[in-house]
Amino acid sequence: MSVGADIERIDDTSTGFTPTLAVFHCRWCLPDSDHVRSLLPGEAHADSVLLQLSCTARMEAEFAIKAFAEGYDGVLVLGCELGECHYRKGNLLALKRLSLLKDVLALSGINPERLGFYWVSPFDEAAIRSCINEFFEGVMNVGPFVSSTV
Amino acid sequence: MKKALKEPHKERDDEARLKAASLLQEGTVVGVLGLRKLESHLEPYLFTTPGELEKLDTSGKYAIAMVARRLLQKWSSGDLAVVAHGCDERHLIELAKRGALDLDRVAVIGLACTKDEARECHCVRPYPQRVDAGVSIGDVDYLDHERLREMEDMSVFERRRFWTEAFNRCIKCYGCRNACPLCICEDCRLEESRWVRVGEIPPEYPSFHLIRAFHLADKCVGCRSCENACPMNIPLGQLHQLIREDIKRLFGYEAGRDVFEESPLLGDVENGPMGATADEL
Repeated sequence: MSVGADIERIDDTSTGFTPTLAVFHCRWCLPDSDHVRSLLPGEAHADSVLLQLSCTARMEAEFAIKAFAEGYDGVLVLGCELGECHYRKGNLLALKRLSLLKDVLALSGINPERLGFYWVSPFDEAAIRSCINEFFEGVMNVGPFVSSTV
Repeated sequence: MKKALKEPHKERDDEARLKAASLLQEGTVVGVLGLRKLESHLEPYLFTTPGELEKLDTSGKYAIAMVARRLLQKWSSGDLAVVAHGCDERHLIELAKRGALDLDRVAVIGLACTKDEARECHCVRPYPQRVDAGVSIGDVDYLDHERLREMEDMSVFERRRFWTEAFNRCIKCYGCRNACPLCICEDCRLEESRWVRVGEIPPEYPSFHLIRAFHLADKCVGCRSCENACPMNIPLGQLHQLIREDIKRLFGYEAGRDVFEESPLLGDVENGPMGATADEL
């Protein structure tokens, strides 16, 4: 699906854009929400929420959809490396579900860049940071998510 | 001439009646579920004696799988025959996959749709696995390609405008949910204030419609009951068709094809996501 250089930015007053994120992280690889918060780039809005899941398989599509309906600019899911799931296959299920959700979002007009999911190792903080930064840049590029009544 | 219009599918009706009568006479089924012709309209009806079958009509479009599910839920024993079009049969298959219905208790009397019926439904497979009445016209392609491509060519922002405009027409009548034979959750998320604001129209974008779209992503067989039910002309059929194409592209999965084909979103993680095995990832 080509989304190209789609910019959802509606007002161009977004120079000081600080994205508000909803971050869902797996309790087995990233048990500490405060730790994950410390990994977010400085430009992330202080209202960003961090939510611990028992496994990324708990991540329902509704969680992300609700976050967008509430006006969050991006939804990030961080889980264990594929093959390393505590419940063996939870993150594989999450991967399938989230891949589909990404496309459903794109079809219905929400830039897929707003949904990020990464499979990380707790021992490689640099890699986690770079995943978060990659996602964050994408959200910065598409701009603020303007709420329901466009 | 007038008579021909009154009974547009006479031959198919007769074939279905014949098959239904033989099932009833054999006593293998408690009843035959189909559409009964009344003065002005059709209604779903359980035919239990061969004598009633002259009222059986095959011309209507009705998501009869929903009634079949409720009946079988109520009956502790006994089998049911269902007069089913291709889409009705695919509904039954999807219900069976999710344990909502026992296919062993269902005998399908398969109806093949005519060209006109298929065109009206934007169908691609207007026939059930076994045709008992009517003549199958085989695979067709009556999808509204023009509108589908138009939507695919839109930028994300244009899609946003298109769907917010469409979803903002929503009066939250829940017709799409009620008409859908595959909306089978006991507690509907769309009624919970946690997910959708209660007592407000239109529902906030994107929650109501996207939750429904995602719930049905791996179930929808494209019967368009939701679109037909919608009083506000929200093109739900198009949204679901696009999602169906997407799930086929991602996982090679098509709902309603085979009762043993598990939804990629549920089990079968042995084969990993998108066809790769877990070791390769």
